[in-house]
Amino acid sequence: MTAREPFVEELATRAQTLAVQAPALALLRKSARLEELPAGKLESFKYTPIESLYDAALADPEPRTVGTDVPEAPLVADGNSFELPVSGIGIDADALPPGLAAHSLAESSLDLQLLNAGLDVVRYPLVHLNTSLIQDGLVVRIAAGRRVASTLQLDLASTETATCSRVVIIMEPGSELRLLEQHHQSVVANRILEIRLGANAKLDHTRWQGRSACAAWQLTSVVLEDDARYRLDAFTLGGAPHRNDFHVRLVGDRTDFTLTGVQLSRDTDKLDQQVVVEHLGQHGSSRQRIHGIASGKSRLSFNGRIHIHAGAQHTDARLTNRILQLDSTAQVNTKPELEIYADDVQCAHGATVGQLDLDQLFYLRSRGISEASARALLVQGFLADCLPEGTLGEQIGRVLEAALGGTGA
Amino acid sequence: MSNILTIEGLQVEVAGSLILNGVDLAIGAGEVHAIMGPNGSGKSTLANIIAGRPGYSVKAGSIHFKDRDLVELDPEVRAQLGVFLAFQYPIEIPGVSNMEFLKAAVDAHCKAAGTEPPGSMEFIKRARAAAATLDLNPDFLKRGVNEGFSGGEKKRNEILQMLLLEPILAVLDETDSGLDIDAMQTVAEGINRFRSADTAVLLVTHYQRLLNYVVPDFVHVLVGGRIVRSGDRTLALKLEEKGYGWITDSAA
Repeated sequence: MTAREPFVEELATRAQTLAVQAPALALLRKSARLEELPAGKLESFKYTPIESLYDAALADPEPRTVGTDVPEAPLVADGNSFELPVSGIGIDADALPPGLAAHSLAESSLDLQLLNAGLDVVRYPLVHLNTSLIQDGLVVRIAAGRRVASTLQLDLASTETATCSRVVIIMEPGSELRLLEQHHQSVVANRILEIRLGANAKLDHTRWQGRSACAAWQLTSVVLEDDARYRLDAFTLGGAPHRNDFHVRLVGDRTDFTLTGVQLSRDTDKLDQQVVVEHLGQHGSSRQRIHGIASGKSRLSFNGRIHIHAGAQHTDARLTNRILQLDSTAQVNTKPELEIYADDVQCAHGATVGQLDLDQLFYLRSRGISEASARALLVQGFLADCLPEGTLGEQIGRVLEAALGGTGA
Repeated sequence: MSNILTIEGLQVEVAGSLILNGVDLAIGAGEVHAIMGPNGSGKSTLANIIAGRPGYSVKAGSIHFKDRDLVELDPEVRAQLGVFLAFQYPIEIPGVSNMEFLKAAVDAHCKAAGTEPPGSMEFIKRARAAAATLDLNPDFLKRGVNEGFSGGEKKRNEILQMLLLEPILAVLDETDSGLDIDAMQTVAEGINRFRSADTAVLLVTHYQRLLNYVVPDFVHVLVGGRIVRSGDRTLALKLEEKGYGWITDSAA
């Protein structure tokens, strides 16, 4: 596996080629501190060795697919929607919905240095990798008090030119948006989505990450100011080493964060998702429910950390992770963590790993339902609580069902 | 008259101990048999082994449903043939709606029988009508299977499944336990509606209370894994009056 040093050397060579392709981003690329890239054995990369991600980043960017068993058709948002290219290139400013502005990262008036300032690069040093090779990006801004009526779609069907990309969504105070983010990737990807929710802003975010044969590291970093509300529905299918980090900081008072998620791994997939929720303001509320299903010889890992800082009084934080292990050959790791420095808070977390319930299975079979159908019904029931309402939820349910069809569930 | 259920010399082991130790029982078409007995006598084991519950193994003897040997058949195949078990403790399945579950069960029966399954609208009508006869609110069909149901609702849900699946043999495992008098009458009406010249019922019960509403043709007393006495319904009344000690003492 590729160690850090040769990897860093290779990155420097590649960055020179990029200087020609996208000169406007050169300044940002130069700011990358490659010496801070992680190396060696790290607790936070216990289940996804960092070198395996380096390997993947250096591999030929040949598109690879994992077969056609999972429908590749993109999800369709409920109601009206509009799409923006993640490159930010070719946006017709006149065609954008009122209240929303969007630019390419290279053209944005946003100070490039401010980009990394919004991210916790100490906690997520792989940001430096993204920065060093960044090829394009998108900046979206929702004007104060504006509610964007149609759903913003970001379709990250990655191409060779967009393996390292960044999207920044800035929601000014009182603005509202619905976001449907989809990843159907066929090349190695390193992506960052940064969201800033101003006071009283509201965001409903649905994130779909399809199964992929290419390694990926992705960071979703969100900051909430006073009274902001953020709802994230995240559905992730595994693949070649997939590592997703979610970092949500409830900085303001009276913030409200809800995460509902499903994670699936099958065959030899490796999926590792880590969520860090930091409560910094008072009266913040966070609710997380993540259900996972692991089958075959896959490895499914989840780590959920709730960090309640001193002064974050009256926080109410909850986290539930349930994982269904369909085959004994599947490896499952789950670790909920609490760190609390305030004394007047409510906090609960729990994680369970289990098999299909034999009594439930017998109950269904005793009514004439075949074992295979009974297993499928139980799996469906296990996920039912995690699906959003409306036709989007129905689409997701169908795709998940199809994805599970090959697991013997 | 041909038998619907024939059990001969049945020995059953659960978790390494012999629970049934030579049971013989024959139930003809149109008959209702009650199995009574003290706690731990093997009543529920008898009900579960007929349905094919995993963890219960036949050590000796046989169970025939009409001409079919049931012992080697999967639970779903037994159900499709017409065997129904009303559970003593119905299982909760959160996330799967009662309606979805009932439709899947009825569809599986139709598929096995080679008949066309009912359309969704027609099935919903049928399920609502059956629920109404058991005093169940139609909302109850939308809820998760047995999820958060009261004891009485769970038992009525078992009877609802029986009415929709139209089995030939219904084995009711302590369906009367946990029911108040009104619920007991409703459940008894459901069972009586199921009775016909072509069907058979095996009622497993600890008390004879239910037998006031569902009058059995035969009563058997199970003690220590064996049927130690059989008779007509007066046997149940005698048990009520004298207690199981009367039988266990004389059987010893």
